[in-house]
Amino acid sequence: MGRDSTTPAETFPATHWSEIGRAGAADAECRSKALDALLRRYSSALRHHLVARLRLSPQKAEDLAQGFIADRILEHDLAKRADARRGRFRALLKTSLENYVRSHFRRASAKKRSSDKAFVNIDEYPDLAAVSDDAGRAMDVAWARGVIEEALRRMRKQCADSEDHVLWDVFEERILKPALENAPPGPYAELVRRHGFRSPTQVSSALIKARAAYAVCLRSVVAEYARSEEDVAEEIADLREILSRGREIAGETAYR
Amino acid sequence: MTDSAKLIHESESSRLADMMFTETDSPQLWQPEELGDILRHEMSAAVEFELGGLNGAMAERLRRLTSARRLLVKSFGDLLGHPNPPVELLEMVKEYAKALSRHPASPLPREIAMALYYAAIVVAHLRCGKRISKLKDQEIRAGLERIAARPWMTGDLRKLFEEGLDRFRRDAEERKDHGPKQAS
Repeated sequence: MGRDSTTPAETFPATHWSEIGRAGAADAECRSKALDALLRRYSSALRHHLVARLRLSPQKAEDLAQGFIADRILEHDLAKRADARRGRFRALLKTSLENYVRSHFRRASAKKRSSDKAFVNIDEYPDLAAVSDDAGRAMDVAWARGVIEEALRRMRKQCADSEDHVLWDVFEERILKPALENAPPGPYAELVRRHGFRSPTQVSSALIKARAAYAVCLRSVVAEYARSEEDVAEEIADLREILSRGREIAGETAYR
Repeated sequence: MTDSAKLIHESESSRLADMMFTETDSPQLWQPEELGDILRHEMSAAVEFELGGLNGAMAERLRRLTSARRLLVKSFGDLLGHPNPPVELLEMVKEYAKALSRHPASPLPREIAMALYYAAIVVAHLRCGKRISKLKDQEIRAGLERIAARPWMTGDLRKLFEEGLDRFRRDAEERKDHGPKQAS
C-alpha cells in the first residue's frame, strides 16, 4: 500500500460534544469550531443518510448537508435541548438532520405555493416511514468509515512523528492491508527478516504495541463525540457490529 | 482523498470491522500456519534475552547461572540439545514457558509456550535424570503426544518428544514390574 502523498494537517479541538450546547459557556467560539470540524469530518455520513434514507439525489444531499453544517443547525438544537446529552450523538445528529431537511422542503413548498399557487408536490417530501432500517443504517456505516479514516490518519502521524517505522510497518502488514486490501497478513518470517526481531516475543510485542497504538487513536476519535469512557467502548462495539453485518446497504456506494 | 482514505471508503464494510477494536481486546495474533516459523525462531532466540526480560530477579539469577558454569548455551535450541544442561536453567525455562502459556495476553502463542514447557521437562528427565514437574507421568505423556502430533513441530523437537515418550513409557513399565511405588 502506498503512503498517502498528502496528509491533511487538520487539528481538531479536543472538545467533548456534550459540552457544545451548554449555555453561557465562556469559550463558545471554540466549541462551535469543534462541532463544525466534527460535522465536516463526518459530512460524508450525512450525505449517505440523505441519499439512502431520504432518497435524495447526491447533488441535493450534498447541498442539504452543507446547509445543515453551515447553518449550525445541530448547535442550535443542542442548545435548545436540555436533555441532549443523554442520547447518542449519531442518533441526535440523524434526528436534527431529518428535521432540517423536513423544514427545508416545507419552506420550499410554501414558497412555491405563495408564488404560483400550485398544489404542493407531495413527491418532494421524503417519506421517512416508507424507508427500511437498512437505509437508515447507511449513515452509520459511512460514519464508521469516517472514524477509521481519522484514527488511521492519527496513527500514521504518530508513527511519523516518533519515526517509529517498525510500528507502522507491523501495523500495516498485519492489520491495515488485510482490512483494506483483503490481503493476507504479512508473514511472520518476513517481518523477522525485515526488522531483525530477536525472538517471537519481540515480534509479538511489536504487534501488540501497534494494535494498542491504533486502538488509542480510535478511542480518541470516538471520544470526541461520546459522552464517557463507557460510551466510547459501547460506540466502538456498536460500530464494529454495524460494519460486520457484512452486506452493503442501498445508497452506501453513492459517495465512494 | 488520500490513498488509504479511498481504500477505506471502497473496502467491504465487513472487513473494516476488524479495525474496530479496543486496547482490551485480545485477538489471535498469528495464523496457525505461522507456528512452525515461530517455533524455529524461538529455538534460535537467546535464552538470556528472552528470560532476562521477565523480571529483575530472574535476570540476575540467569546471569549468575550462565557465568558460573561458562556454558556454551546461547539459544533455547542450544539448551535443549545440550548433553548436560543445567537443571536450574531448564527449570527457569519451564517456569517461563508456563507463565507465558497461562497469560491471557501472552506474546508467545500458547501452543509454542507449551512445546517449550514440555521440552524443558523432557530434557531434564532424559539428560539430567531429574523431574522438574509435579505433573503425573501420564499427564506429561499426554502433553507430549498431543504436541508431537502438531504439524508445526520441528524435526529436532519432535524427535526429543518421542525420546521422552519412550522414556516415560519405560518408567511406567518398570514401576509395574517393581510394584506400585512411583520412581523418584
